[in-house]
Amino acid sequence: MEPLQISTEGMTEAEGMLLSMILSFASDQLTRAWTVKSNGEHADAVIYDMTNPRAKLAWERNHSLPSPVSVALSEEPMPGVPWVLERPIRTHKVIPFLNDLSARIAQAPSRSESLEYGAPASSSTDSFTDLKTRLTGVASQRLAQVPDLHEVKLIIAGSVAGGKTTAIKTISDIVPIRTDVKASDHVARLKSHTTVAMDYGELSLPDGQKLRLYGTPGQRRYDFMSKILCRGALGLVVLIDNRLKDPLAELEYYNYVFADLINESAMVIGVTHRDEAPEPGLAKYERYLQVFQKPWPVFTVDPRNKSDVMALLDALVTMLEHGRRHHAVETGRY
Amino acid sequence: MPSRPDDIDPGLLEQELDAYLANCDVVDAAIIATPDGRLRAQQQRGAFEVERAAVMGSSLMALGDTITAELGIGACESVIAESQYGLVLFNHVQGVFVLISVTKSKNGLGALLSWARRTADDIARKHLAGHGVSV
Repeated sequence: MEPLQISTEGMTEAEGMLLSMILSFASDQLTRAWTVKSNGEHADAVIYDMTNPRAKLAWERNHSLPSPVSVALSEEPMPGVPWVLERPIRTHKVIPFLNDLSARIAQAPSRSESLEYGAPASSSTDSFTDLKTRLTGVASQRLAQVPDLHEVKLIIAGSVAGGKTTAIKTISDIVPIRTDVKASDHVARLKSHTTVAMDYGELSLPDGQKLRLYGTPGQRRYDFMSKILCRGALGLVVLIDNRLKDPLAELEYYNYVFADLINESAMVIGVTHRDEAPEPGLAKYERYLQVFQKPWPVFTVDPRNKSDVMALLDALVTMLEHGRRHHAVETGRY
Repeated sequence: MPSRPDDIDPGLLEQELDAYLANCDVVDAAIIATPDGRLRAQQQRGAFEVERAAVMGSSLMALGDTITAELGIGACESVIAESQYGLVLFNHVQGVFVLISVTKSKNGLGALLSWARRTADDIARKHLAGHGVSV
C-alpha cells in the first residue's frame, strides 16, 4: 500500500524534522506508512501551524475542504475543530493521531465528528513530565540490560560556546554543578569562562531514579574528560555552534570522538546560534551525515529554551525506545 | 605591567621551577599551567609528558574547587593523587596558575607539600602580587 503523504505549513524546521523522524522511527506503530512532502500538492493531509499567521490563514481557507485533510497544530484546544494536533509534537501523540487520520482518509472522512488530540492542550510542564516518563522507560531498560550499571546518564557534548552548560541549566532539576574557570586563550573572545572538567545536572524521574546529565568541556584538549564521562551513557546530545568557521567538520570530529558511544546508543544534534549564523542550514547537516551514513536527527536549538532542549531529548528517547539506530544507519533513514 | 597570565614571561616562571627543583630533591617534575589547562612552564629531571598533565591538572583543580565549595569547607588549596609508584600534587597559585608537582618518592609527600606551597607563594609574591593580573 502506498504511503500517505503529509505536508506542513508554517512549522519550524526543527518540528518538521521531528515529525519526519517520528514517522520513520516509529513506523512499526503506524497502521499505514506516512511520508512528509515538501509541499501540499497531492498531499493527503496538511499540518498548519496556528502560531504562523500565514499558515493560520491557509488553514482558515482550506479546513472545510474534504481533501487534503487540514490539521491544526496548536498548543490551545480548538473546540469544534475536527483535527487538532497538540503542540509540542511528541511521538505518543502523533502515532495515534495519524492512525486515526489514516482510518478516516481510508473511509472518506466525515467532517462532522470531532477528533481532538491532547485537548485540553497540555502545558509544557505536562510535556516535561511525559518526557521524564519515557526517559524512565529507556533508563530502566538500560539498567536491566547492563548488570553492573547502577546509574543512567546522558552526555551533552559539543563545541566551545555551543551551549552545553546552558542546556543543562535549562532542564536540570538541581542547580547544576559547574567547573568553569576564566578563559585565557582564544575562547575568551567568545565567552569569559569555560568548562574544564564537566557540568553536572540531574533529572528526577517518576520512579525515583536520577538521570544524570553530564556536560563535557568544549575545548579539544579536554577530550580525555569526554572519554571518562561517556562510559556507560544512555545517549549523546551534540551541540554545534553554527558560528564556527567549519561547523560540519566540528560535527565530524565529535562523531569520531564519541564513535563507541554512538555505535552502542544514539546521538542527536542541536545546531546553536543559527540566528547569528544561519548557514550551514539543517539540510546541509543532513546531507553531510548521509554521506557518512550517520543520519542522526539535527535540530536548530536555543539552549536557553526548555522546549528546544526537550525536543532534543525527545528525539533521543524516540530513537532509544525504538532501538532503530542500527536500522537507521543501515538504511539511511531516521 | 602584566594584565593576564600570558603576560608573565615564561622564562621567569621556569626560573622559579628551577629553584623549586634545586631546593626540593624529591620533586621530579614541576609544571605551571593556566586554570584552563595551557602549559606555561615546566622543569623536570625525567622525561615526563607534561602537556596533557597540565590539562588534566586544571580539570582536577576545578573539580577540587567545586567539591570543597559544595561541602562548604572553603577554597580548595591542593589536590593529591597517590599512585603505586609516586605522587602528584596540584596547588593553586593565587587562582592565576596551577602548580603541578610530580615525585616518584612515595615518602616525599611532606617535602613536596612544603616546597610546593613555598614555590606557589614565591610565584604569587614576585610575579603576581600588585601586578593587576586578572583572575
